[in-house]
Amino acid sequence: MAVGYYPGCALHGTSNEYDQSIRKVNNIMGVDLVEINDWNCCGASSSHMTSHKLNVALNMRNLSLIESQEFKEVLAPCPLCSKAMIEVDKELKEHPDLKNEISQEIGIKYNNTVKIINYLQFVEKYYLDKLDEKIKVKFEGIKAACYYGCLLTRPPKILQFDDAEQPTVMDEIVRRIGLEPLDWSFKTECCGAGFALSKTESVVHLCNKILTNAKDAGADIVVVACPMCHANLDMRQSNIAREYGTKFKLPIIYLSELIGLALGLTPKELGINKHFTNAIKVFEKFVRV
Amino acid sequence: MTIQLDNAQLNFADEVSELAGFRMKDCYVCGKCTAGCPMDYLFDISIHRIMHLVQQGHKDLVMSAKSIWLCVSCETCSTRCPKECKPATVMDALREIAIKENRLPEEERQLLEFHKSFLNSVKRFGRVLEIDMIRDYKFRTFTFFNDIEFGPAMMLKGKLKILPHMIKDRKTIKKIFKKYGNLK
Repeated sequence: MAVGYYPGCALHGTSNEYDQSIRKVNNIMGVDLVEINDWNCCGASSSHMTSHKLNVALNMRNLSLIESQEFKEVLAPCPLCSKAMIEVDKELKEHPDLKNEISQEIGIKYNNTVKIINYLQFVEKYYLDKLDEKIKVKFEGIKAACYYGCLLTRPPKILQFDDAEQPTVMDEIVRRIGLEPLDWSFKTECCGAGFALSKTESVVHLCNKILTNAKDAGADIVVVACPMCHANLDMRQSNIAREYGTKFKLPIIYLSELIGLALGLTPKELGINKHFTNAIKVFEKFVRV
Repeated sequence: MTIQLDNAQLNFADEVSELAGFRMKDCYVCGKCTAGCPMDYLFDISIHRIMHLVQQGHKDLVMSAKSIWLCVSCETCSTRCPKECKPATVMDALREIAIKENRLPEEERQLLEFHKSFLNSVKRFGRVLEIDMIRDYKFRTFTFFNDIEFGPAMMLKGKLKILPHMIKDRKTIKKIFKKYGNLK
């Protein structure tokens, strides 16, 4: 049975290397992954921050589309998207009056049959037991700080995934790939998310704290599974250097890119050459560049 | 000492409770939300104080706070609340009330302008075209030169999508925005 794929706007835009690496890895791992037809934006932060029902309606359309295209399970790699759809699905189930209202006003029907999963859940469920036989590269001595950010695990009552204060799912996957996941204190501290343009100084401030802690813990690399976290931590290191003086040069890598390297794909095939902070050098000893 | 609160303000706690989906009176202002708030260093009124002010009906004071626009919805507060209150959802509700009543932020106005630019792109194409959103935002806020160094680099790296993908069912998106969109 095919798993639906909801890339979201960021993966089609600035974070297209996340989409690129997910697809390349999946070609090797062989899961039937099919993009949802005609999906719309989940509304990210701006919808729920200004109009609750706008957020519900936008996501109800996506859930309704997924259901009518007969997918039971959908991978949404961006945690803003996955959190939005999971939260709206739950709200529509618990508030049938709201579901009926939107159904009548907008003409969309939804029966709460869809399950949305994030990339960590997808890898855990569909890749983990086949990974050992497909891994071609043996990494050694690379220390990784797994950064979960906010919306993979919060709010815990709704997402019910991993631990909201000390998550470990990504750490275990990274360990299986052959890196050394670190114990560090900023796994779920906010990077500033959607404020990259409208309050850049806050993103620079928060990313400085995250990278400082990662560096202090001994990280050679930071692994992420969110396009906003990646953009903020990867692109703002020059802003951080200007503001705080620290030149981190700490590579930020998507989990999908890391898996791809382990499977023998090149950095260019995975889009790692598109990063602002060089993330190829740290793997030079192990992969074809 | 007696503090007089007029009726409009007394209803404020109920109005917020209704929108946020929990009872404001459950909050006992312990401060755990503020302790974990990553944006507290920029807030004029901390989130635990906002919760208390809402309970007491100080609508004007809360509505004039720039904090509500600076909240980044990281959900740390709602996750850690010992009484299962939802301060992050309260912030959403306060923004929605502010927009409805045209109480726009005096400071940090660009945060609201960003939401307008973002949602305009969604309304137009069904998906966000970043370059369109950024252009709209820069024109609204006259910040043409901020981050200008990223533009050429992003184009060369193939990170900047130029042409929009217009979804086929834009009719439904327009209907959704007509009924539930509240920004001009």
